[in-house]
This record gives sequence, structure tokens and C-alpha cells, in this order.
Amino acid sequence: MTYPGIKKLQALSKGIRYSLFLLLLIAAYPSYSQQPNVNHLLASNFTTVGNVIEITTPPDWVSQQVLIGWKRSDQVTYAQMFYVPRGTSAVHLSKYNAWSGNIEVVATTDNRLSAQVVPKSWSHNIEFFLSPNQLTPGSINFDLGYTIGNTPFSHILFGLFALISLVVFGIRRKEFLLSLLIGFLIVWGMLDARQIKNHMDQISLFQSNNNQLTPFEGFDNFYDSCDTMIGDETWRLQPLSGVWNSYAKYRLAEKTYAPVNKKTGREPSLLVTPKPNKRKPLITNQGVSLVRLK
Amino acid sequence: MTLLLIVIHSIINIALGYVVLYLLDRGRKSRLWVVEAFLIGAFLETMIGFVFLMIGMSELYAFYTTIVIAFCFLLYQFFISKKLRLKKPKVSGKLNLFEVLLLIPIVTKVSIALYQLLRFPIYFDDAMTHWSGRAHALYGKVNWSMDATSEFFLGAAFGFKEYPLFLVIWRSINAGICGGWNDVVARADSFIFYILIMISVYIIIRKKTEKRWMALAASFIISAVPLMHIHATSGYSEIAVCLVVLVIYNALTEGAYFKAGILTALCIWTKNEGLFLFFPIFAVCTLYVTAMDKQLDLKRKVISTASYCLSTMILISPWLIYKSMNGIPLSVISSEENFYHADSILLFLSKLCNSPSSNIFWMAFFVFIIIGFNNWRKQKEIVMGVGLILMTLTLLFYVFCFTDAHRFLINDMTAHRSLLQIAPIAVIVIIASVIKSPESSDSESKKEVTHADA
Repeated sequence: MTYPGIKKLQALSKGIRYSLFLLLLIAAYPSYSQQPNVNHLLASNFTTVGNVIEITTPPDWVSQQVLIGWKRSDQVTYAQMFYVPRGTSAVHLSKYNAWSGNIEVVATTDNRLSAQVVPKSWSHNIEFFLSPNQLTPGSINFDLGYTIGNTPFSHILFGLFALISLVVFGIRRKEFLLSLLIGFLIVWGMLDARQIKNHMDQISLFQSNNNQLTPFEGFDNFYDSCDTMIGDETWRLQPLSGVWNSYAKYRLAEKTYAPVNKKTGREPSLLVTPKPNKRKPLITNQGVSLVRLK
Repeated sequence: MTLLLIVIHSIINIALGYVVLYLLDRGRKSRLWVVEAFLIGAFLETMIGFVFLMIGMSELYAFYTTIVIAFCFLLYQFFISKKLRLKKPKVSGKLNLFEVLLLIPIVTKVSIALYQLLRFPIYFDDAMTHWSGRAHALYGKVNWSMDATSEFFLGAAFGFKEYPLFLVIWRSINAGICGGWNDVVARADSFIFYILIMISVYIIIRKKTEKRWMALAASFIISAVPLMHIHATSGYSEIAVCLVVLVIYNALTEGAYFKAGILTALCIWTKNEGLFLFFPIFAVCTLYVTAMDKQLDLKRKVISTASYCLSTMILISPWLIYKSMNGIPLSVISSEENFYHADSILLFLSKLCNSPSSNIFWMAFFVFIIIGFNNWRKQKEIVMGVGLILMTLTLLFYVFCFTDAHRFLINDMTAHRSLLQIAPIAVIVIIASVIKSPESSDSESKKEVTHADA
């Protein structure tokens, strides 16, 4: 899933005084959240060719998703949520097109994390292949797939499909198409096993995240409270970013709604907004507040 | 509890659909009659609901109407005409090891999908807006209007008013039955469609090949298409279209043109692609099937084709006329743009054959239809299936490479979802290309006889 719009990833100087660097990733994650600061430096000035980045967590770390952003030397910037388990683990960034060439800086939001750039080994390849593709709002449109080394899993499966079919045909010596079907079922089973593991990983992350899915953490309770507070009054939504907007409308669809810039004859008494300004929020979650207008 | 009530609602829909099928077929049961009955029942119920909405009544009355019609007819059949008899389902023999190996991943995925349905919240954008967002607004009543001048016309403040209302009304009725809205109501139909797709593919292949392992293999293949599982609990409409297209295909192969027409109307009532993509394609398929049917004289061929087209048009007409009268565009995609976008062919082919979303599925499909050409070319229903897939790909190619929808090809937004809709037909073609057609078996045995004679 591409999250375009990393508007401001400030250039870090090359090799000097990292403590002074401030990496502001304003609206780095525009589809979801409200301006997180990706200001904790993880690594800088290295090539992606033959290297991977390993992240080390503190001992009391609870496995969770964190936002990691990077900037290439050609000024291309990118940010993405990644699942970081406790301990030291390599981050599978090579499945994103933006992870290529020379990287000027990699940073994250959580200052408890540290990282090092290490040469890529076969154990990394296996680790990356088994690392989960977490659910994102883009998962409905396409699958990210898997790679082994730099080869897409689908290419490997297609090669295996041909090979296994020929082997089966070589053994049976009849009905080539049936051998082809058996070959296809075997590689399709391999893919399915990997997919099932991924579904299980997604469930496991969901459970470890208190039955919440990113980026909607806490919003179920938030909108339940909003629902109660709005009661029979009218509400309005000031546009939130991306799927948060849709989620807010969906959850409060039974409450009398007054769209922005529409002549509905409805005057809102309450406002769901990312910018409460001077109004005192009745309730807030992840930068979204319910405020009273009158 | 919510899921149980939705299952009961589905059974009531099956009862209504059974009434229609009985009146239509007079006992000539299709192999997929339960699935057909469910779809037709749900279609009629939601269409009645739509008519009720137009006259200012709640769509929930359509559910009560369904109960009354279905149960009066079933009681009449059971007690008075005594034509309805409950039979024990046939249980075939023990599964062998290979069949068990095919069944395990299917059961695992169904269990995972069930967990995700019951525990995960609604997650994807279109489900929160066009489908369940509008359905929730309809259920809540305060943000829904049938007045074309209102900002809430057909739930426009929550999603596209251009999108049809089958899932919107069905989910709203479900919420009414369950006594409130929740995220299971918003997505349960996707799970039901997922199960029915696997069952339908199983039944079609079982009937065709008479081999249980092949039927299970087909169900396994369709269940493991990477994007299919995620749609099983998403609340989107593609998986509904996927099932409906499969059942229309089956109805046409059985020569049930009127029924295929009803189901095509449902396809249009589910998603706009039904009108622009599948209605013309299935009309061509009907022409082909009737033309190839040697038992039909010319008059019957014309009547069959006309009954397909007319039943579709008549049954969907309330929605299309309503749209036209209220100035709702047929689609949200602009039809003004009509030129070839540079490099689209390669991009389209790469989405088709080199994408993790379908992995090697479509590559394998082409391998099977090329190598198995001699097997499937003599089976007219499979020729129709291949034709259906190629026509769909051609139309999708046009849509994604020549129109405004090109942006959805670039950003990966809908191309894979569109391909998902014809995946079950592709599975049937794959399996059929492996089995020898009766004609080709005959010609081979004739050859053997000739050799023996020589």
C-alpha cells in the first residue's frame, strides 16, 4: 500500500552529530493519522543493495506496529506501518519499490527503538518470507505477496508448477493434463499454506492489540460515547483523513447528520473534528474530538 | 446470535425463491437450486423493499411479505398438495487421503473467515461508505431520503447514490431483524456468498466429472485465490457478483433462460458492472447456447433468447426507471473519456498475470486452456465459459485502458477485484480442460479400434 504525501522529510546531514537531527514527517501517514512525528533516527547513508536494517527493541517492548519512514538520496520519501516484535528483527522493506538505491535516512516515531544496517543473509530471506503482510485498508484491492530473496514467490511457484507437473508426468507416463492439475494443486497448496499463516498472524496481531485494528484503535469506544452524547441532536463531521472519515460516518449513520457545505436545513449542535481549536473536547481519541457547537 | 438470525433470514429467502423456482420449473430442479432459491428470494425481497421505500413504507415490511408468501406456499405444498417431501441428504462414502488433504485448508479458511467476521471490526472503505454506510443510514432512517432533491437521497451523504441497492436493503433488513446494527450485519452476506461459491463450484464439478476429489480440488482452488478470502468478510459487493455470475452461468448451461434472466437482473441490482459488463456478455452467451442447441428449432431459439433478455429487463426496470426519472447517472465513471492510454496493454497484462493478488491463477488458466484445448472445445458449456472469460477480459481491457477508469488500473484499486468476479468460472474451465469430453473419448476409442483392425 502506497501512502503518498510525505510532505516534509527534512534532510539529515551526512555522518555528523545525529543528536541534532530532527526528522519531521508531517502528515507522513495521511491516509490514517494526524501528523505523527517521525523524528527518531534509525540509520543513515547506506545502500539497500545487499543490506538490511535490523531493529532492536527494549526488553519490555510489546509487539506492535510502528511507522517507519525513509528518504532516498534522490529525495524520494516513503512511510509505512511495520510490525515490530520484541527483540532484534530485520524489517522487510525490500517489497516496497521505494526501498531501493541509496538511503539517506531511516527514522521512526518511537525513540525506544534502535537499528543497525547489516549484510543480507539467507536467514534474512527466510525471515522476510515468513514475515506477515499486515492488514491495511489497501488489502481489499490487492495482495502484497511474498518474496524469497529478490524473487517474487509467484515466479517461484510458476517454476515449481512446471517442474512438479513434469515430474508427476514422468512417474505416471499418461494424461499430461492430469499431471498438470496435480502440479497446480501442489503449488496452489503451498501458496495457500503461506496465506493461512498470514491470516493467523493477522489474527494474532489483532488479539495482541486488544482486539483493535490499526488505524482504528480506540475508535469503537470513542464513537459509542459520541453516539450517546449526540443523542437526538444533530452532528457534523469536519473532514478527517482517509478511512477515518468513512469510519466516523459509518459509525454515526443513525444520528441526524448535517453535511458540510450542504443546505439540508439542519443546524449541527455537535462536531466531530480533528481541530477543536478553542472549544473544549467532550471526548478525544487519536487527535479526533467531539465538541459542542451550541 | 446476529449470524444465526441472518442465517434464518437466508432460509426464509430460500423459501421465497423456492416458490418462484417451483412456479418456473415445475419440479425440474437445478443442481444448484438452493443457491438459486436464496439469490432469487433475496432479490425479490429487496426489490419489494425498494418498492415499499418508494411509497414511503419501511423496507422491513418486505421481510414480512416474504414470510407470508413463502410459508403460505410451503404449507400448501406440504399439507394440501403434498408435493413437498423432506428427504434425508445423501451421504457418500468415506473421504480418501487426497480428499482430506484438500478439505483441511478449506475448513481452516472458513474457520478463519468466521472468526474474522465475528471478531474483526468493519475495516475497508467502500464497505463503510457505499454498501454498509448507506445500509446503516437506511436502517437509521434519519439520514436517508427517497426525495431526489435531498442531500440524503439514497444515502448520498454516506456513499454513491449511483450504486444499486441490493446489499444496502438486504443489510438494512438484517439489522431490523437483529434489532440493531453491528459490524456482523455489515459483512455477514460476504461470508455467506464465500461459502456458497465454494459449494456451487463443488456441485457443478461433481456433476460434471462425477469425481469427488476433482470437485473438492475445484473448491480448494477457488477458496485459495489470494483476494477471495479477504472479500469473504469485507462487506464489498464483488463477492456477491462473483456468486451471481457463477449461478447465471450454470442456469444457461442448463438451458434455464428465464431463470438466468432473473439472476442477471439481480447482478445489475448488485453492482453497476452487472449492466455494463455481464448483461451484454451473458446475452451473447445465450445466443451462443441457443444457436448450438440442436434440439431447439429457430422459433424456440428466438423465444429462449428473448425470454432471457426480457426477464432481465422487466425485473430490473423498477430500478432503472427510477434512476432515469430522478436523473441518477448509470455509473460514476465518466464515459466521456475514450482514448487509449499509453502503455496500458502491458500494465493490464501485468495485473492479470504478474500480480500477487491472483498469483499464478490466471497464468495457470491460460496454460490449461491452451494445452487442454482439445478437451474443452467439444464441451459447449465450457466453450461458453471460456468465451465469457475472454469477453469479460476484453471489456475490462477497454474499461481500464480507454476510459476514465484507467486510474484504477494504475493505483491497483479495482482491477484485481474485477478479475475476482470471474474466477469461479475460470476454475470450472481449468477442471473441464483436464477431463476428456465424451466426444474426444469416442474419437480416441474409434482410433484404437481402427488400429486394432489394421
